Amino acid sequence: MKNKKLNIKFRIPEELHKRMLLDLKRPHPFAYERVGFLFAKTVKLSPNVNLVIAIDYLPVGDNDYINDKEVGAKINSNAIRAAMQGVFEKDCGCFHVHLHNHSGRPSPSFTDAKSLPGIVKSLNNIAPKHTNGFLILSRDAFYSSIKTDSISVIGYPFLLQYPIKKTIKDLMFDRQSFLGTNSQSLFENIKVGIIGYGGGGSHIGQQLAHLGVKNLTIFDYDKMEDTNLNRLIGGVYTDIKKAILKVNIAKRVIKRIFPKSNLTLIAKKWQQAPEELQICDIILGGVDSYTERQQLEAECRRFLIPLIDIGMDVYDSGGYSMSGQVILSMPGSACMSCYGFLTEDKLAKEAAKYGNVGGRPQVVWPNGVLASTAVGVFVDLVTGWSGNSDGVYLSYDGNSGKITDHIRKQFTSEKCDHFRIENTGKPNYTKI
Amino acid sequence: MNFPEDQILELKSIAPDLSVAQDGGYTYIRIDNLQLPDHCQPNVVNALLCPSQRDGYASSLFFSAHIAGLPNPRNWNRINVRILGENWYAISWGVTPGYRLAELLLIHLSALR
Repeated sequence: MKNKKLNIKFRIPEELHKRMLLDLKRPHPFAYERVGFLFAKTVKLSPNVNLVIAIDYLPVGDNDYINDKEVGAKINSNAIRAAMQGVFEKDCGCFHVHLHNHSGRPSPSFTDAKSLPGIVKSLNNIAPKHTNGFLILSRDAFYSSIKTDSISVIGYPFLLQYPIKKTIKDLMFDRQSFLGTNSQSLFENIKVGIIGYGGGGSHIGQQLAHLGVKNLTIFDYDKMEDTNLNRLIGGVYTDIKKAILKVNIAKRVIKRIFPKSNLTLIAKKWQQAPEELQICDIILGGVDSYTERQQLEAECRRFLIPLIDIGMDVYDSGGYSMSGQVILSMPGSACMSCYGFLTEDKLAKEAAKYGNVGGRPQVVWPNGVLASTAVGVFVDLVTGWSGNSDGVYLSYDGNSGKITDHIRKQFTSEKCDHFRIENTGKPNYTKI
Repeated sequence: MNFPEDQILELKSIAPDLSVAQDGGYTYIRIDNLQLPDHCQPNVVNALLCPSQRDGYASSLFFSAHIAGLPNPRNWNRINVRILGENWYAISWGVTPGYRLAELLLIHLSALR
């Protein structure tokens, strides 16, 4: 039997990418270029998909370069030993990294091709269960010695690199070409997860189909009920009687708009199919509770996945008031707890109401406003068209129809202490 | 979060296979191969002890499986809770703060009686 091709997704936190570039660009007293080591954990998502997550970077010290005019950089055994020590301590794999200081995809020089496989062989000998290799960085792209399905730098905007494929120019997307020459190729390759195909998720699915986002994974275990008809886009009256699964409504809507779409429909809670979530590059979440948000954010952080969360509520306090939020939870930056959106107090109040929540008020238009805003954040994240790179915590006032930066955003540090980069991937349990 | 060594030693006398990890700002003590009362099905599970406030509970004990065979009906209100890359199950069981780790574990386990 033929072995199936192993697909590797490589994710690098923006903080580490910046650290590597800063270090590798520094001039050295005699070496022409600098070298470092990137530590990475590997998670097996399925028999043919591995996820490689970068967790730390080790620069080679100034004194560990050997003066050799024949090559750009030659390092001594101390540098290799330090990398091997890191592999042992972190129980992970390692990539030799250096920079070709230009834009566009780099490729290995004759010397790289001759000398680097030897270092990789040494790394493979000491960490045979992990993924090892060498990476060549340019200012905005990569060459990887291991064949990858994608390499992404997780930040705002994303830096996404897929194998070069010829993309067909499609008139369908002509009016959105201002998003960037590469934007349609990114939409064609990126894998997006939608958690919850209700009032918010159904707007999101429809809009992503219009944008040409090809690979969508949709999670919802519910069937269409009469209380959903007031806001579930694409849901029709007869779906109620037939108790159609919401994911099948998603399929019907999305395939009609964009027949080429590649849908993965999960009629379960995402916790029952977590590997389908972990493989996604971005998650858009329209979940009902704080505890669901807490779990979803933790899972996304562990697998270096940006999460765009939306939600709304209607309160009766002597007159109805409607509010909502759009939050971008970006690994390495402020999380929903940092923003004060998730608090122990809210979680406790929700737990106290368990089983007695009742049908909360929900209507179609604020769901549409929040979902559209979230799709806008998604497009900007992927294409970088607006030039923004700021965190997103937007507050929606449904009574006035205004969306503004949430006041808490001004007072929140962009550094997150709840989710540390070193805790990504497989959990780090310490024996006690 | 660091735990006092004497409390860890005391906890180890009940459940020797312990490790710690952090997730989302919480520190968990993982207990591998925790022996449960004989009537429990299964009666050996892994568990996560969260000694700090989470989800409105001052402390929590999560099990790696839903435990059947309990003599009294219990409210398993946290099912398939995703923590540290695994799914966990917990009974709604309020424990007042201030106990030592070993006491905390035993009080949570009393929910299985």
